Amino acid sequence: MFKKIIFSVLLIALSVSCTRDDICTEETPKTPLLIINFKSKINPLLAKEVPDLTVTTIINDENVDLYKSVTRDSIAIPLNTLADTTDYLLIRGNTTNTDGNTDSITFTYQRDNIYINRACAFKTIYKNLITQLEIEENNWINEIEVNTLIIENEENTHVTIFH
Amino acid sequence: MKRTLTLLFFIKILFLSEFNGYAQKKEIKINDTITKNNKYGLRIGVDIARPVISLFDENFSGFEVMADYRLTHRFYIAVEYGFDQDNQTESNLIAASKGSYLKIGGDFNAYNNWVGMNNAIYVGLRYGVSTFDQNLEGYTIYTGDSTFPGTMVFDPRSYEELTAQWAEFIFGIKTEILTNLFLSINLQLKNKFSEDIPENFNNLYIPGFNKTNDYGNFGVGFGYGISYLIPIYKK
Repeated sequence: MFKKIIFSVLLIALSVSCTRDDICTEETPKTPLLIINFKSKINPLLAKEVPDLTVTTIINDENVDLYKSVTRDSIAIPLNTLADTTDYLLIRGNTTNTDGNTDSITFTYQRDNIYINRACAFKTIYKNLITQLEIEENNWINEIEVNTLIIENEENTHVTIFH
Repeated sequence: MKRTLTLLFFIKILFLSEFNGYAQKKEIKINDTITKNNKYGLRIGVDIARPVISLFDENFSGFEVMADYRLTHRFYIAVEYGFDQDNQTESNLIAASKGSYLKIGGDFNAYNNWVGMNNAIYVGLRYGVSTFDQNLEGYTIYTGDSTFPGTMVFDPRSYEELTAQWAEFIFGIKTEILTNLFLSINLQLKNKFSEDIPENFNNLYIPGFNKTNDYGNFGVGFGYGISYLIPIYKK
């Protein structure tokens, strides 16, 4: 009887020492993406799709496409969590046959790293976002408006682009 | 018929009283034998699991001393004091905790020993308190996105003189391997009810409480102890 109990306690003690690792679930709020809506420059209340839009950023001298030739009125793009600026190229009318019109935007912001939990570690929220459109001969973008100063979730539009 | 019942009743009374008298006598006799073998005293010991883990696991070092004092036949007051250092090196967090802890409470021996044996199957309750420092060395940022995947950011921060308190339930066994020398194994279930949470971080490891988790205030632990009983008197 005594030996049986010793054995079972030993067994439980061993299994306790190997607990499963914590898992970061998909539902956990993570670093937010930047939500951009496109609206008409003639009627600023109207959503307006950008035809054949390609969204590209440059990482380590390599072009990375986040959207490729899509026609839509909103996009969600990530900001670099290791730098205070992220450059994006927004190309209108980019198809297999035509290069389209490229506009370059620089997003500048301040970063705050916020603790989530053991499994997911930290996330970044962004503050004081500034957008800068590179002015050239024929910008397809007319105006960029920042809608929120703090970007901490993906519930609202952060930036509106009029074209 | 009535007379027979009355007779039976009296016979019964007679037997019962005789049996009672006999039982009483016997009980006194048993008490006499037990008296010689019930040692009361102070038992002091060390945890042997922590030094062994310290040898094999470079992320952990710790020690614990323990003592208990027998109050009554089944009740002991018990205390543990220890020091832990634990590095939490995970894929997305690198942190370290170190500090000391104290646990005070009591044990109840539920085991009925044979004459001359001093084993125990016990349950215990403890109040635990720890003061500790925690250092965060680095972390990854959860982006959930492949364009800018989370890379480890080294951003050392230290949080000092944190405290935590918890209640602990213990289930364990003690067995006398040599005269007055005991080996013990126990399981600990802990529930913390108070802690200093570092700003923009959390306590990943609390000395004495062990690893925390994201789901609640529960913690688990185990101990292997070796202890020596200094007999003070016998009862």
